[in-house]
Amino acid sequence: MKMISRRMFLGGAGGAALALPWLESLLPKNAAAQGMTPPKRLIVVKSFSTQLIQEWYPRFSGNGYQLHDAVYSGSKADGTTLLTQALGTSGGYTQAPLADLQTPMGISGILGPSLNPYLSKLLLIRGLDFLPLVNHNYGGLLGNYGSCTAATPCDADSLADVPTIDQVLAYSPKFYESTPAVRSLHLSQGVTNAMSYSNLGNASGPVQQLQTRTNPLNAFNDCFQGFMPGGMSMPNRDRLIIDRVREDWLKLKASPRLSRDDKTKVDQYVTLVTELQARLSPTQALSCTPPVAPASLANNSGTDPTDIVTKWNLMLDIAAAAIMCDRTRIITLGVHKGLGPSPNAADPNLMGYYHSEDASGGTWHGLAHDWGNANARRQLKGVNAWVAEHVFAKLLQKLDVMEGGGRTYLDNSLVYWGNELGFNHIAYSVPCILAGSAGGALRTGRYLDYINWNNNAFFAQEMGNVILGIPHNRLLVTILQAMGLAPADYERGGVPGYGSTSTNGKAPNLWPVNYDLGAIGQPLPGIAV
Amino acid sequence: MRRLLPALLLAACEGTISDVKPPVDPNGPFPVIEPKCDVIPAPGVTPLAKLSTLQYRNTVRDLLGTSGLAALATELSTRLDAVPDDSDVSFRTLDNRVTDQHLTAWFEVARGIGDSIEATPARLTALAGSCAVAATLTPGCVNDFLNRFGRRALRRPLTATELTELSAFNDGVRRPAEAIRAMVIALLMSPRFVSHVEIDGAELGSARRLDLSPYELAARLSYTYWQTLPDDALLDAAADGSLATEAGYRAQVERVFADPRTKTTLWVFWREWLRLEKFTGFATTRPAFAALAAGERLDYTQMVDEVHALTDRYTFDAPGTFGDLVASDVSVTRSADLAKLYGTSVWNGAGEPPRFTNRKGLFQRAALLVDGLEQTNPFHRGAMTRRAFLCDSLPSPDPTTLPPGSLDPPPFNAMSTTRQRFEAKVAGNTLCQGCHGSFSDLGYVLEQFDALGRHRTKEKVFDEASGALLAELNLDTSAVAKVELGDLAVVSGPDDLTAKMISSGKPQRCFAKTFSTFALRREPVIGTGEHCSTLKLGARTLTMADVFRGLAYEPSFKERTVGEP
Repeated sequence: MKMISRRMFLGGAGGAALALPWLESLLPKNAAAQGMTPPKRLIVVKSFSTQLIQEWYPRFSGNGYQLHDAVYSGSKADGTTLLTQALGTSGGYTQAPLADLQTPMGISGILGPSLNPYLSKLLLIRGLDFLPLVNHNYGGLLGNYGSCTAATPCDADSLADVPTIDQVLAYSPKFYESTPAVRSLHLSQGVTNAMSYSNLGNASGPVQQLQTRTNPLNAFNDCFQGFMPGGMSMPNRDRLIIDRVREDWLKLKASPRLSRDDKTKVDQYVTLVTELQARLSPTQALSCTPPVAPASLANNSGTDPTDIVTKWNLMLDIAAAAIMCDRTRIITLGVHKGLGPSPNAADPNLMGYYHSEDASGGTWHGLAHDWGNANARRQLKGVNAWVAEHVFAKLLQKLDVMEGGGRTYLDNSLVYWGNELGFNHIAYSVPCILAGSAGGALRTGRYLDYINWNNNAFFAQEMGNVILGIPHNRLLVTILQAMGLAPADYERGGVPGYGSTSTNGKAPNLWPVNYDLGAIGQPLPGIAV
Repeated sequence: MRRLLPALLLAACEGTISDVKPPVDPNGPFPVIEPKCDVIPAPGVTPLAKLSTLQYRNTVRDLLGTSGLAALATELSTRLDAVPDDSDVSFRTLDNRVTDQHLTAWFEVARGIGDSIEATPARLTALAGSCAVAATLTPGCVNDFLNRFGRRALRRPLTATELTELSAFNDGVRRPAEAIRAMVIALLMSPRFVSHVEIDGAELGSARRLDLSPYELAARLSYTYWQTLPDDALLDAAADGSLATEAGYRAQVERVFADPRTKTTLWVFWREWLRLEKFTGFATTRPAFAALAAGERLDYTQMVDEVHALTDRYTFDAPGTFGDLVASDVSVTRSADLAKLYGTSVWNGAGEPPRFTNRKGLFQRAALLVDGLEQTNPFHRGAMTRRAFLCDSLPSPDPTTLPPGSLDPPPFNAMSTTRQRFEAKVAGNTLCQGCHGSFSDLGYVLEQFDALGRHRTKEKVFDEASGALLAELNLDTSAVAKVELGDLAVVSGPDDLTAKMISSGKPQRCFAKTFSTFALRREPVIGTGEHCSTLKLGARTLTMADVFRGLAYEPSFKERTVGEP
């Protein structure tokens, strides 16, 4: 990869900023302030198991809207709002302005009032289907469908791992013109395996799952250790030492007593050593205010509410600052922990929840299995509503401050909140809500429904149903292109689109499998500006 | 019982170590595949592996400690903590991922050490001798430093080439302290520091089968039993050739095993195998749980401490076999709260511990039974017993063939025991029973213990929302446990189950196999040397200490097989 220093980038794109000696130049507050096109960013929020159909989607009626129940019977009468405005020119897809569905309580039971200020910047999407047969998984929402957890293996595990799209971006020279401080920042509590898979930029290298930061101090140090706001870092004398280190790894690789796999592993090290060296190059930092370094808060498997809230607050502060200081442009947040209501409906206190492999009754995971129980549904809704307000909306609030050119950091970003599965552990119509327009690439403020409700309903449960939707792969394409990549930058082996379209293991009489793969390389219809 | 398993009902259906094929007929025997071990085969392929994060942190601390810089390790604790923790999905030592977080953290640790010695003459002197604070750095001073520090860091003497290349940092431009700093950073970022490099031994009839060199063997011993670098005694034994002799090797193995660090390492093994880190806490705010736990003071740490004391006792203090541990009825808890929960008395650590009257063995301790919620989950308990303690694999369910609602929990019914509700869940469905028939009964036997790990004769059923006691139901803890699948005899309860397990010899073999996985950082592959070792070490007459120590005496321990070129 061609390495371009931050300074070179500024010179090439901003021109005048470096006409003066750099120490004397007035440092820009941010990229937009100096006339550059602000960078785009991708932030992914993932919650686990599923969302309840009737709590996640609007159930608004009136003002010209009615529920599906008014038109359909059987499982299609699911109590959610029927959209009627055509979306695109074919496919039977529909849409509605989110503002039409707004109530003082938000647009749905989970997407509550804290999101009302951002409705014009949101895209709620229904009908995205994972084509491969998955179970609980790590990387499905970002394109690596064959990533089921060890505890819940699935047919899709037979698929070769591919980098998740955040990692395609992380190693794209179009996305990062030079080596960033942090290619991607991954945050979570409890579970340390990230939703992201990476080949570390080596197209022929092995794909491995990345790890999250669970201690806010480590996340802070990753982003801000040695950071000098508005300053130019000095040439680092350790770059030459790293030359010696790289030589050591290359010598090891030459040993005939390493296997092919060992040598591939050494290649990974060499790549990482090279990256490390690049980060030691002099760089021009943006002027911004980093957060104060937090205390060290160790990871744990507990559910103490104070611990959960404290860590999320710190992590969101760090995430927002890392974006604004351009320390990274990719962040993922694995929301394994949150707060929610007690089993006792009369108890106003919230308790901690941890979504782990354990699906015993009463756990977050167990509640998602217990959809037939009204009290479990109340709690599950409460947990996800807490995530909506205290993670997702709070993040939007932190990012929705002006960056320049009439756009906020949020506008220049794409924040994607998704789940690992659709309703009741079925990977049809997996939840998706986007925020921000990726610098104006997407037309926001809408609810998009990619289900043609006149199609056959195959299966019904949990007040939901399985009707042919649209491949989730097309959301991946939408995001990659919104971030500025062209198909040649991400397509693999000449295959259009991104991510597997295999439906192996799905019996056609039980599950919809007849997707229009001719358009698999295209973005979602009607989503772009 | 700790909750190893994930998805509620269909949990457990995944394979791990498999010399046993999944059952086709739930009433039929597992077809056991016994490898041929009459000719000792080569070990399985040992990939190039990074130090585990625990090993890395220990290595840095011990390297600094032996270099007179112990305090520096404390100062660098934040940087050491920044090395990503290995995944706990399996044994942490099996996680061989490396990312930019590793490289950055390793570099920050190395730089932190280098910066400190550069800035502090006393530390520079401690590390490299008083000659290092002179105006110029002599070649002799550099060589002495590299031969001493480099040998410890790389776990073998530096080669002439390495000496030359590292000495080049003493270029006359860098100040002496700066040159030493550069050498330290280069050494601590070397592949031979951050990973297990085993390429120096002699070939054993094939380019892919290697005898470990003495230094590599020293390192394998120390990282297996201590999770850290070899000490000077091990390195000296490698240097003087004694480690290559039978007597010399035995002396070192025994010395290493007797070192307190071995005890620490073995506790890591137990903790990870028994999933003692995975407990998510007691749901004390749930009314039903609060009702169940009324009158108890619950502290999971005390439960874990009891397991720690018990495993130490049978390994070191009163050596016994794994079967002895599985059957043990001694109570070693020092906690009054846990003793009350057990209905026994506190042991003060001296003399004979008190004995239980209503439970036996490791697997019936609270730390392994406790659930955190008010209800037990017999599927979890059964699957964990089948998979983790008997080392049987279980087939994966095919979600597409499951009837609707299969993944939903059994509906609540105040008039049904947990067992009855769970049995009803899979009743009449041959698909479900094909898998559940092989593990659920193990869990039903353990219904003798409630979700807190207390022995019970009745099951109390509470209202989830109010905590009101709704019913007290009779238990049935008899079941066809099929410890060995051909065995259709009824097990009458937990004690009977324990006896069956021990007499089968399966837990003993499972224990040996699991320790081998932990120690060698790979699952034994059927037909390899370590698998033969596992079978040998799984003999029911060996004490646990014999098993732990015995791994080092197995031929496969001293070899490495290189993967496909």
